[in-house]
Amino acid sequence: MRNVLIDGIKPKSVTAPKNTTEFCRLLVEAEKQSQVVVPAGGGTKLDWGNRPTHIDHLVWMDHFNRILDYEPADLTVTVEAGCKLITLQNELAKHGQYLPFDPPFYDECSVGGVVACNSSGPLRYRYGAIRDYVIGMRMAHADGQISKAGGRVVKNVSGYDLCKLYAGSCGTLGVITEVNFKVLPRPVAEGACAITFDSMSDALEGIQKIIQSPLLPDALELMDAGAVARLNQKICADWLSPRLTLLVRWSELEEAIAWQSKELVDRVLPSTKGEATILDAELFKVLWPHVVRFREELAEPCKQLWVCRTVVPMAYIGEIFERARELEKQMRGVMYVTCHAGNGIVYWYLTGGDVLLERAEVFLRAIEQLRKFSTGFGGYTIIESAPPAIKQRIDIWGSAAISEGSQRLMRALKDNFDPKHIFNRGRFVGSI
Amino acid sequence: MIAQAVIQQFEKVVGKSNVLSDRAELVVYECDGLTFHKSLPEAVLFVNSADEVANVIRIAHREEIPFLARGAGTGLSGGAVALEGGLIIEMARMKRLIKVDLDNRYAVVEPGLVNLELSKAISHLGYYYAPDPSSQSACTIGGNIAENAGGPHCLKYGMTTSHVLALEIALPNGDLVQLGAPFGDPLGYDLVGLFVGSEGTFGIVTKAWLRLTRMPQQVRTILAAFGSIRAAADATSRIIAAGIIPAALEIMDKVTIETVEASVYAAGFPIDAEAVLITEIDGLAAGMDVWAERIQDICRAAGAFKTRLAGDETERAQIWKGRKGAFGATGRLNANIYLADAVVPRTKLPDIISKVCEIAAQARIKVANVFHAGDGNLHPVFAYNGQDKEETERMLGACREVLRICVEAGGTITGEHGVGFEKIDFMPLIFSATDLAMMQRARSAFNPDQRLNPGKVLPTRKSCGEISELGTILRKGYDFHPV
Ligand SMILES: Cc1cc2nc3c(=O)[nH]c(=O)nc-3n(C[C@H](O)[C@H](O)[C@H](O)COP(=O)(O)OP(=O)(O)OC[C@H]3O[C@@H](n4cnc5c(N)ncnc54)[C@H](O)[C@@H]3O)c2cc1C
Repeated sequence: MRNVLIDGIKPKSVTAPKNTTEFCRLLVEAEKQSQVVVPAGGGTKLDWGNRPTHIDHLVWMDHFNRILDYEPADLTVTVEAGCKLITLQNELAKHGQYLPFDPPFYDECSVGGVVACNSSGPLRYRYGAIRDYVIGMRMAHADGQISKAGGRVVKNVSGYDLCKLYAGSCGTLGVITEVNFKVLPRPVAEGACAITFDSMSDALEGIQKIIQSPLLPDALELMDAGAVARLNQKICADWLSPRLTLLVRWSELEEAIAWQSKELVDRVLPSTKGEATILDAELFKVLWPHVVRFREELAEPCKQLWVCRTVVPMAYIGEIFERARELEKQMRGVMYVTCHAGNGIVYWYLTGGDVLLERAEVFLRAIEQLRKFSTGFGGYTIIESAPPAIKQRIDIWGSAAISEGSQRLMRALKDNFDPKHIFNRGRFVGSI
Repeated sequence: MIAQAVIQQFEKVVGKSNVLSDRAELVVYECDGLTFHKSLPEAVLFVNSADEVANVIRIAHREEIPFLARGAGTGLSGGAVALEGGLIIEMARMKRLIKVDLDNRYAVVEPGLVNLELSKAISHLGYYYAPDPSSQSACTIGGNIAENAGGPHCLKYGMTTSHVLALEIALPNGDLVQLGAPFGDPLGYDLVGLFVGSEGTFGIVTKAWLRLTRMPQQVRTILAAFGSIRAAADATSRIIAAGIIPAALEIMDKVTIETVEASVYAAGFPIDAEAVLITEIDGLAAGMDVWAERIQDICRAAGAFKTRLAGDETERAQIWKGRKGAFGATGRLNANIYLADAVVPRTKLPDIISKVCEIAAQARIKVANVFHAGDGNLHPVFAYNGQDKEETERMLGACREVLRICVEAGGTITGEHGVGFEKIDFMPLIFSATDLAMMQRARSAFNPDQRLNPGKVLPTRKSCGEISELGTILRKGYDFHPV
């Protein structure tokens, strides 16, 4: 059983219950003593959230790893939470089906973890977030009870939609033990096109043109020059010109992909300042997995990798890129910025040596300013990953961006579902 | 009774002419689209702004008067019925389209806006609002959000919940709260997702940010006629199995076809067919004909004796007018009709539909089957005479039996219309006491005093015991007779 430090904190006990009975016994005991429980799936996002003060139980879902019920003809599947997303995808692929998500840590993350964090990747532009594919769930609650929400059918309004509440709750309301998904047929073909721009304003104009056109992209992934250079490095080639680049991905019938590439080049782009390169099938196949795995591949060689996610309306994306650039200079690290441009979700990755830590002040101030800038229009910045020394000095969520009223509702939900706050105590928004 | 002094306070907020408290005027509000459950409110208030809603609620909260919102009253599960009297807050006048933001593809609307009016107002921009309940020319966005309404095209585009980005709501204590933001992911719990489908029991929507969908470049509508309803249902399974997710997959049976064809909604459906399957695909023009051809091949292979591609937009509109008018058209079958709603895994449809027909035959009730075949959502329409008590009971018995077999087949008791209080007694069929307790936990976070829309969605503790007994009986397949 893996014991790990979470933000530098060592869990007092580490377990991997064999079944729900064992699991629930643990929960009942923990609740009785008001202990802190951290559920763990793939272990890829354990450091999400505020730094815990202490952890009594780290509970791995390793034994909940089966695909329980897969009905290809119904396009539904029931899977235990500890099952790796990739294992599930491989099984679905045997029947020409898939779940249209490509979240960070694609190869390692568990189904439960992805759902708990509602994490998503580039595909979410067309296909929506993971919560839109969850049709049912089984949860273990603080009092040791097991409940189910939703069902196994793709359309269901029987009772409140608790699946939506649990998805994205970051393991603070209970432990997801099983998930029912609706799945999709795998598209016949896939392809992509890279468009380079000289400036951010050109890029934003280009993106708007694409969005307003008849094209149906799956993903609109905007990457700064540094990120593109990293991709080149990864595929050991310089197929992409290391400039501000928009990757437009599609999946359709071959005819439709061909038509879209042509339409993009002939009709959509001429009115913009972008230069397009259609990626041939081979390049696409080699390149795209690195786009999806950008984050984890960055983590490998870097001593420090600080990751933030800023969410803003599309018009402000440029501002975020600029601020990131500015911060890079001040921090004397290397910053990569990528963005799900169609959704206004910007990721910025600050890398460097331990010197970064010496400039913690600068970093914290920049975050604060960024938050001030974006709350006016409902945006926010989350620190997804940073060393404990940083995290203990700041609310990683920037909870102030949430309206008073919403915060009250969230607290009430937490109190109702987990009265003693045993699940991930203090780590979620508003320190719940 | 609400004291006259309190009525006067309400009048001060919304204006005298916007308060109804006369029995004769209230009768209109004693039920929604589900006509056999009636209960009179004590007053109906017409509101014009979020502030008015909040102020009205504050008074109701202080005076401990139960209240609920009502949109167009087309709900089919009794959601907008004032079970405990009190107030109905009529939202229909709050119907402004406040803003359209095409850069971020959303619109901001007031809840009283009628679903179809939104799409009409933005169609010149090349966008529309995707959820399309058959009642879309009457029902409101607020009602849609409360019920998580679906429609034929939800097969591909998802139910209302996939199209609501953010909300402003009035909580049962009168606080106005904004939930979510119109871009990115929710920060913290997904309160918007939880709220959608809460059937008017969590709060009253005063403003909504809705996702707008670009009109597809091309649409193809294929009509296929079958010699049996089973064959039509089988064709839907084969289409899905071929890796196609059409925009819509709808089946109508012979009874429905005949009534539609004899009505103003006549669409040229083949009356010699036992069932028709309407398949609509949309998206890029490139490759569309390949799909259309493939779908027709699949239908023929599944036994269709006729397939037809709608030649133009007029023909297509005609088909949908027929389909969406089906429920209205069935009104001619008998004095009253009852539209049932249940879901099964789609592969179970052929068996379930046969059983539905058997159940209806046994109960000697005429049934018309029209359903969203693509997602396994069946809508048998039972025709009966409401004056005839015995027949009404036979009809209700048949409905219950249908729900029972759907649950038995791994399905659920409602796919679109909600639980309201119509199906409250059936909740224990699919949910354990613990499951229901969790739902109660969610509700109490929003509506701790249960003063907003009481008596809906969740069985009360008292009835829960009795009902779970009923649930056990039903689960065992006991021959259940309506009380
Ligand atoms: C002919 C016909 C066809 C139909 N077809 C479909 C269909 O295809 N798909 C489908 O899903 N439904 C269908 N319905 C059901 C119904 O139209 C939907 O449930 C619709 O969403 C109800 O909207 P409404 O404005 O009429 O709401 P109402 O009936 O007025 O209210 C329904 C519920 O919403 C609540 N509510 C209303 N406004 C608000 C608000 N502002 N804030 C909070 N809660 C509110 C009420 O309290 C109540 O609980 C059909 C109904 C009819 C009569």
